[in-house]
Amino acid sequence: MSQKFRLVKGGRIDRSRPLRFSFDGMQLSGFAGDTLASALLANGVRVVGRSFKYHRPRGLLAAGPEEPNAFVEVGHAGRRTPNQRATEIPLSDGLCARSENTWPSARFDLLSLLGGIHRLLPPGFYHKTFKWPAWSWYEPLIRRIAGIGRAPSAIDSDWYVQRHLHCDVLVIGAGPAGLSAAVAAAGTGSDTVLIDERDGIGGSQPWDAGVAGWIKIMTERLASSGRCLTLTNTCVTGAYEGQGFTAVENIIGDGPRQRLWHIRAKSVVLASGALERPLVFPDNDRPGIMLASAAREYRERYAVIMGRRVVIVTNNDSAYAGIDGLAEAGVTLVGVIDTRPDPGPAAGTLPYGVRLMSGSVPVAVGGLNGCSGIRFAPHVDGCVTTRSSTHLSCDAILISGGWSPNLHLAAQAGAALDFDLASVAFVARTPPQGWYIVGSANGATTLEQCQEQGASAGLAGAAACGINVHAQFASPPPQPTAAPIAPIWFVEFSDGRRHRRQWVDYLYDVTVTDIRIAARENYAHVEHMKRYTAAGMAPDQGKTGQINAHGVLASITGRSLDGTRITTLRPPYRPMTLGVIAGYETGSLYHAYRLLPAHEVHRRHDAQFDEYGGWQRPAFYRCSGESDAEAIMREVLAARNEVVVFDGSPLGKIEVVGRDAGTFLNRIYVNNMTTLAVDKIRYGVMLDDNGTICDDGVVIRLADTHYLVNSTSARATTTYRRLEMLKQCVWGDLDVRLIPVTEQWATFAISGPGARALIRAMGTDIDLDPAAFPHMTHREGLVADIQVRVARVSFTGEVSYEISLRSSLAYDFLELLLRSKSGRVPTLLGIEALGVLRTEKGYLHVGSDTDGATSPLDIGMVGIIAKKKGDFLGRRSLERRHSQQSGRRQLVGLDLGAMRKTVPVGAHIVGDGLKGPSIGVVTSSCWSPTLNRSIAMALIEDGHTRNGQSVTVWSEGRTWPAAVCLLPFLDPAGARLNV
Amino acid sequence: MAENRYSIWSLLRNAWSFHENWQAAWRSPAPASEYDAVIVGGGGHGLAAAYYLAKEFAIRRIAVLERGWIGGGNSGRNTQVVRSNYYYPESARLYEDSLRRYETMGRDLGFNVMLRQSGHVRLIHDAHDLEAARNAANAALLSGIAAEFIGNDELQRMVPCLNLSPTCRFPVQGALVQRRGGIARHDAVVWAYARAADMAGVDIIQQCEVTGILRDGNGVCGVETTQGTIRARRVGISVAGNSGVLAGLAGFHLPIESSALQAMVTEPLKPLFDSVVSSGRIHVYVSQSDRGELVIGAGTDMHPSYAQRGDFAVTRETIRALTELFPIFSRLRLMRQWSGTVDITPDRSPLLGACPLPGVVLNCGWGTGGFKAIPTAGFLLAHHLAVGSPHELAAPFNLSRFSEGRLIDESAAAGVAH
Amino acid sequence: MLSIPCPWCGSRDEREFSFGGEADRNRPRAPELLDDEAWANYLFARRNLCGAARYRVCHSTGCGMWFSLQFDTRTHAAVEPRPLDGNEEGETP
Repeated sequence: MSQKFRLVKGGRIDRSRPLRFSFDGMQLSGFAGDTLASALLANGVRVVGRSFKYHRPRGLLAAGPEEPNAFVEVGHAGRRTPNQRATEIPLSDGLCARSENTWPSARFDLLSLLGGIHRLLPPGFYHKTFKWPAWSWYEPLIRRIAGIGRAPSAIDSDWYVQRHLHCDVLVIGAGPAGLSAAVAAAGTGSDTVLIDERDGIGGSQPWDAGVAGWIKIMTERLASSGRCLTLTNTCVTGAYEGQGFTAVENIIGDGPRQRLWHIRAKSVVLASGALERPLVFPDNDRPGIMLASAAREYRERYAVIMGRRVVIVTNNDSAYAGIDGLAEAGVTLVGVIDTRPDPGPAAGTLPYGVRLMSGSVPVAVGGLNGCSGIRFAPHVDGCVTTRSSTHLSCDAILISGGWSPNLHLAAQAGAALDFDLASVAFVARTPPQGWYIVGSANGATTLEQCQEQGASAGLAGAAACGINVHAQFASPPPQPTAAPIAPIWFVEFSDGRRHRRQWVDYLYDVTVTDIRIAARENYAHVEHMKRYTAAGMAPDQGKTGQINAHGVLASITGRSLDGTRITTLRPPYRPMTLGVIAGYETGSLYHAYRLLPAHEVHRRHDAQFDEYGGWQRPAFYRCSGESDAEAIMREVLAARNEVVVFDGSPLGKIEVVGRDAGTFLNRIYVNNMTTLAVDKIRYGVMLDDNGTICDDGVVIRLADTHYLVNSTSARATTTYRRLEMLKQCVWGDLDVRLIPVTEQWATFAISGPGARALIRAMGTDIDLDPAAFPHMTHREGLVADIQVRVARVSFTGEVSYEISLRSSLAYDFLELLLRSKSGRVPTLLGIEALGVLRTEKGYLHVGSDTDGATSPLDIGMVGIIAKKKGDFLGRRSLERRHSQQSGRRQLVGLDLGAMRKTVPVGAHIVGDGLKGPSIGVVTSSCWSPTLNRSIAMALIEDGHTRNGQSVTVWSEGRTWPAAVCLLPFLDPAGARLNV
Repeated sequence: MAENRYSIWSLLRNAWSFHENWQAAWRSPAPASEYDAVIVGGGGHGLAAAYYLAKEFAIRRIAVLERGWIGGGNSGRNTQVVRSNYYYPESARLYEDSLRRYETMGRDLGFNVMLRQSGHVRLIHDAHDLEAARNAANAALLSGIAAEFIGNDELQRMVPCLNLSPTCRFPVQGALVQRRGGIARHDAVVWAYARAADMAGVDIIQQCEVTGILRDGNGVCGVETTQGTIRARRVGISVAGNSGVLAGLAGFHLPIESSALQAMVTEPLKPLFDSVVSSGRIHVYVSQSDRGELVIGAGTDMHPSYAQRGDFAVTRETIRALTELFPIFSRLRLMRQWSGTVDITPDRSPLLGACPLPGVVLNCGWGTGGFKAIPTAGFLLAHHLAVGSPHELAAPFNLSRFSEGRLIDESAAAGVAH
Repeated sequence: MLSIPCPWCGSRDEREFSFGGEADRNRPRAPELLDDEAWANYLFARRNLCGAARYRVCHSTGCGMWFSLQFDTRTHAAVEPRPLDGNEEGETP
């Protein structure tokens, strides 16, 4: 197909670079500089898509991102992208585009048969039917018919980036108003950013030689100022608090596909222009009907015409402006249907021979996949009272229903958009703080007004940033947009022809009749109408249809539009690719793992890593031929019988320093911390003020005014922040400082009967004799000539030395340990084996063996609390009735007899019955190689009083008999520890 | 009212007459000066309460007062999820009752609410998730609610586009499924109750903001509104998000913070999967609407808010989580993002029943999960207003649980907003 | 995309901050003297104002300091940051 609708000259396309592309299998050609839309038009392709509900044939209505009809899918494999508007796709060689939601093609779509039963499908029809036997019988079919594009089937082969940007003046829109504002602002020396969603500067208005020259000069001035960053192909999508913005840049060429800009500006100049509205009349959705401004843009920018014989239908003056260009392009203007009885002076500019039908409205459009002609008739106040009409034959119809300032972003930023009767548009009477709305977004109609408003806003914006310029921005009162206008929201018929369909929302097939039905059923609030009919909810976000929908509803319900609020406009202004929102922190950078300082050493020793609280830690270490369970059992037995080393570096460490450090900790821990002697260690439990256990760990007193607090690894950050909050917000009078040192210190626990010998073999100046260095005490000194802190605390129930040293030395230290000179090489112990060891000892794990309701009373700390003097966090809550009463879930052991199998964690306890109410839950469970039986811990209602009682463990219908028993399972006297 | 019944026949009959004879789904009457009971808040909860008051408790003069348009608050801003697999027995009983009412709602109210019970899928990412899921599943099973573990093979069949690669950052290791969970069309639920309540004689009064709560020696005696004084001895407060404001008018404070909860949709797509897929671990959930949009739910914003707008930081985290689970969604586009104001209680469980002002009954604190409770919450509010004491399903959720320390902490069990 | 002023660091993006509740909610000096009702009021009851109120905010990934901030829950306007004046302990209102 040749480009028979391409003019032989003109346009801003590069005719020296022809491009080939395909659409629905047709092989077509265009030029560099085309969009897919302009190239399709040039090739005479009229039907570019189908509507959502009735599969009506649809052509291009607009030239910009507001296009409601031309949804296409482009690309292949990892670059296949659905739901792209043809108007926003730059043409490229080999581009392959397909229409969506059509079968087999846009031009011939079998589902258009649905249009035949449209009367059975009024808004809400699915609420009124499909109730019997059930909606689920019908839904799959309806869902298959619904939807637009296909989701990609392959992983995105592109990548995305993000950037932050701070500036003084942000100018949105690079038309004459925005350009003037940017030049003025940058001229004062303020940091200026100019953004436009189009691929160049200048906006969408027509370019004659004079304007083009002016734009060139201004662009040069902007560049020479050195203060302005200009981003084209960039759409500001969201306006947030604190003058924060998101903008998506389409990156042309290689590299990432898109960039998300996070922008924060001190002043904002909104020069986002205005969007032309369609007119609502019977058959107004025929392919070949286009917005007058869009037709003009296609003609002037791409040298493409819509047809040879066109009719203009308008209710305002703006459509007259492009008429001269039609004749130059060789297009015959058959006539102008002006809905106004008296079109005023504009009509006087019509060339000789062009028919003007004033006071008339279209009543029908001929054609199926295009326009063959239009019928019109006179009207009185929008109502056609006569049955006779006049026919004009034509192959394209250009429509203009007036202009709507593009204030989406201002509304997002909180500006109220009220309807203004004079300009027949929603206007922002009070712009958001720090915003200046200029150009046609502010009702300007001439180039001079745009330039003037832009320049003064640019200066005022700069002045508001503290730049010393004299500037005052007087926002002119909202003026008639574009031109004098007399709205006609739709065509009313005095006889039975009111059911001729007139489209308000193109994509979702919402007609005037639909809005009438919604109003009749009392879905008469504009938000109800919108939700009931779906008007304005399509992917074009109501850019073309929403205001007409307001107008139609107001006319039908007899309400005045004056002062009406627009339905809420939500971000984003234009749909944003999910990939660019996600940015680059995806895949392996998504919540990237934290690695142990000695990670490499573990890896070399066949550590099987797993994630624990964001850290990648060894779950266990595999020796050749072992199963997972065998490896874990080997490690457990090594701890009980020989010696193991465990990397506990993520253990939370907070140094607490100051005269009142002890007092502070005393208020935070259930346990008494002021009575702790220097170099002694005490286990402590922390509560929130509601009395719930939120962390535990040991506290070491390093000096009189210096403590070291250990928190669980998973809560290291949370607990530090909580302590800091308490220090600053609750007990600001205490002399105490908190220093989080988790990452500064690596920690290795050496545990087992051979622990002491191992450390001695490494060489140390610390007296390890149990009398000199007993359990729960702390020493500092040298081990293997490295300065260390050694705490005798145990998570395993065996003699343990927890050695902490500078993180940077962790790698070397672990290497030294693992090739100990004595020939006694410790076994590496992973988290899983540690879990078995601590369960054997009945040591609880906060978050597993406690839940959001467990109090210290429930884990057997009654005596400790009774002895403690003074207040501590959560103490008052423990005195409430519910904390004291029976029925609380308390931590106990489960004796599973000689059972060989373990019970699952998360299994419930159901008393004696086989399926009764749950009285508890298994919180830890494992096979104990030491005891050679299965053991478990559980939170059970009144567990502390049930010792010896038999219960049933229940999980997904399976049951296990068990008896409640005391903790721990192993070495209750602690004989293995105090050696 | 038979004429007003919706069916395929009424549709055909009205199609014949060009849809010119449809009745209003509900009237818009002027408020009377006095009612037997007034419900403040014309969302799903309030309208359902009015319906049950009229239908099941035979209270005659009932008004629902709505500040804006009915269904304009959280009823119209949620992600439409229904399910009942809650952890604590008292929660499970309540939501199960609600799910049962949802299952027959379309026929009971004569209005198709488009319930799709295609399963609520809770993803399991690691051993800890599995243990927590097993705990929840057993709790559900013991409460008589089905819960089912599925492996990755079946998960792949249910949700074909889910990334099940074992090497991703949060690999999926099966899921816990409630087959009866799913979605219902949120607006339809509001309209269904509004229409049914109206047919039962309830006055639905829109654009009527309550500006004061009147009291005398016996407790509440009416409300001051933008449409004048309305007297009533029974006042139900069902104004999710604004519960704190109404409590302020009534002269007391609630254990509630108002926060923004956001949701978002992509452009419409052909059907991809049927279920609701949620990950508590990376905090996102997603379903696909009948129209084809992916409906994506996020967590609450970090600060208190009544603004009904969401922070982009949360939007971004949510989308990152989504594209992590579904990398092939990367080229899809976000079409619309919105927020509702939700009541957050300290234990993430609702707050139902009496308050310090006699005659006023609360229905609030539903947090992020109020939609799925609409029918039962309405029934329970109606019960309390009519009978004067809480229904047994509502009793555990009273205000005094906070002073007793008897919290029903679903936050640990739920993990993810819903 | 709130911009929150820190009294020490100036305005920063909201992601650097964490909110800590209403600024006038102070932990009672002697909880043991309160009855259950009063204690529950301290723990749970919130004024939850629709409009401007003071909140405690921490510049958690910045300087780490807590301060009080006038925050409007309707508009999200964040103004008048003030350092905490030391000992905030006191009776609940």
